[in-house]
Order: sequence, then structure tokens, then C-alpha cells
Amino acid sequence: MKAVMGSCKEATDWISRQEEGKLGVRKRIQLWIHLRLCEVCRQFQWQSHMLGQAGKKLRGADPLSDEARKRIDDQLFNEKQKESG
Amino acid sequence: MNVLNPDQWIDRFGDLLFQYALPRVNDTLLAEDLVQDTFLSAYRSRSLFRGETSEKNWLFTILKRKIIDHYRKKSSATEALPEEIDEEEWFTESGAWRPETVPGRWERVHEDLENRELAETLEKCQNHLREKQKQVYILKYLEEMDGDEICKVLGISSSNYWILIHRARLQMRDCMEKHWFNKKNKK
Repeated sequence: MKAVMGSCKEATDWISRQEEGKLGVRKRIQLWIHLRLCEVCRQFQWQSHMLGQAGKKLRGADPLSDEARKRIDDQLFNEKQKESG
Repeated sequence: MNVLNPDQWIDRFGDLLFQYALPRVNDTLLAEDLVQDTFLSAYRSRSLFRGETSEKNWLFTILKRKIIDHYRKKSSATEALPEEIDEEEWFTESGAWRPETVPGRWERVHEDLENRELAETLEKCQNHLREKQKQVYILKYLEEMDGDEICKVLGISSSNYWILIHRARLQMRDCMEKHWFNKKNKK
């Protein structure tokens, strides 16, 4: 059976490859069978996908500090002066 | 037609750009520098702005390029790369999940993905990845690049990439399960 559906170690690797369209037909079929039969790997697939979604939305909480804001403002001012001068 | 207002950039977009950059480079000073470089580059090349995209999107495109350039430069530092898949920590010799690392059901799945505490836990878990794994993970999931682009930026082979991303995913999932999704005594 393992020859048909692969191991969990292989299946979790195939999941990443399939996401990027880098899995051949034979392994795609094996993965499909594996996921039909293995709830744990299905869970892994869904959970990893969900973390990817959370990653995209990841943002820092704090705003720019006053010092950084001033520094950037000064640099931009210098840049404008250089051009006009 | 969109126009540029450089005088308003810091007030309108400074925080947004900084908050985007910080979790992607994990260094406050560096994130500030990237925001500064973004504004300077944008100002110098403002004649190229055609107004087809919004001012905000244009600035974000420049920032994203700067983040990728940062990783490109960083990748020239040498670090041993994995030669083959070796995940004994996760799987038995026959390739089955080990009982201690088998994915469990998650409890807190209905909470908002933009929840602040979740974001902090995600960042902490990311920071526990090995350096190269972290770079690959950030470029793939936070910057949404595909494997071929990531290999070019980091100067790694495709087989290295698949090993690194596989391990990073295993580790991130496990870390988030322990520290967020199934963490007891939550607030």
C-alpha cells in the first residue's frame, strides 16, 4: 500500500511541491490517494496553508519612532535640496 | 490618474511601510533604513511614475524590491545547506509521523488571523527557524514568491529549496500548535 500512497514524510513534501505546480502526474495521484486515506496529513496540509495565509497578513504593531521619522524626513529634505540647489 | 505627493509620504505611508517591513527583516533599524531607502529611491525616480497604480502600491513595490535585495545580499554569507531530507525529528525510519510530533487538531482556528497575539507568536516561531529556513519561509509565505525566484535570490539549488521549505513548514506548524493553537491557559 505504501508503494501506492507513499509515506507521510513523502506526502508532506509532495504537498509543498504540488502547491507550486511542481509535482508530476504519478506523484499527484499518489498524494491524492494518501490524503484520502490519511487524516493527519490532511490536517497538516490545511494547517500549513492556514499559516501561509496568516503570514501574508503579518504586520508589525508599532509605528515608526519619532527619531526615525525625523531622520527620514531630514534625508528626504536633503534629497530635495540637492535637486533644487 | 494618480499623482505623487512626496511631502506627504512619511505621514501617509511611513508607518504602513515600516509595519510591513519589520516582520520580514526582524530588525527595527534595518526596517527603518528600508523605509528611508524606499522614499529616497521613489523620490529620485518619480519621473518614472506613470500614475497607473496608486502612490501607495508604487511605494510598496519599491519596498518589496528592497526587501528582496536585502536577502540577496545576505545570502552571499556562507551557511552549510542540507544535502538530503533528514527529518528524524518528525518521522520514523519508515516515514510515519512520530507520536510526539503528529499534527493534532487545532482549537483556536476561528480566531482572527490578524489577531495581534497570533502575529507575535508567528514571528517568534519564525525566529526559531534556522537562518536559511527562515529566509526561504519569509520569501515564500510573507513575500509570496515562488521556489524558482527564491532559488535565484538566495543562490540555492532547487533540491536545497525543497528540503528547507519542507523543514520550515514542519517546524512552523509544530511551533504554532504548541504556542498558539493548542496553548492552554490562554487569555
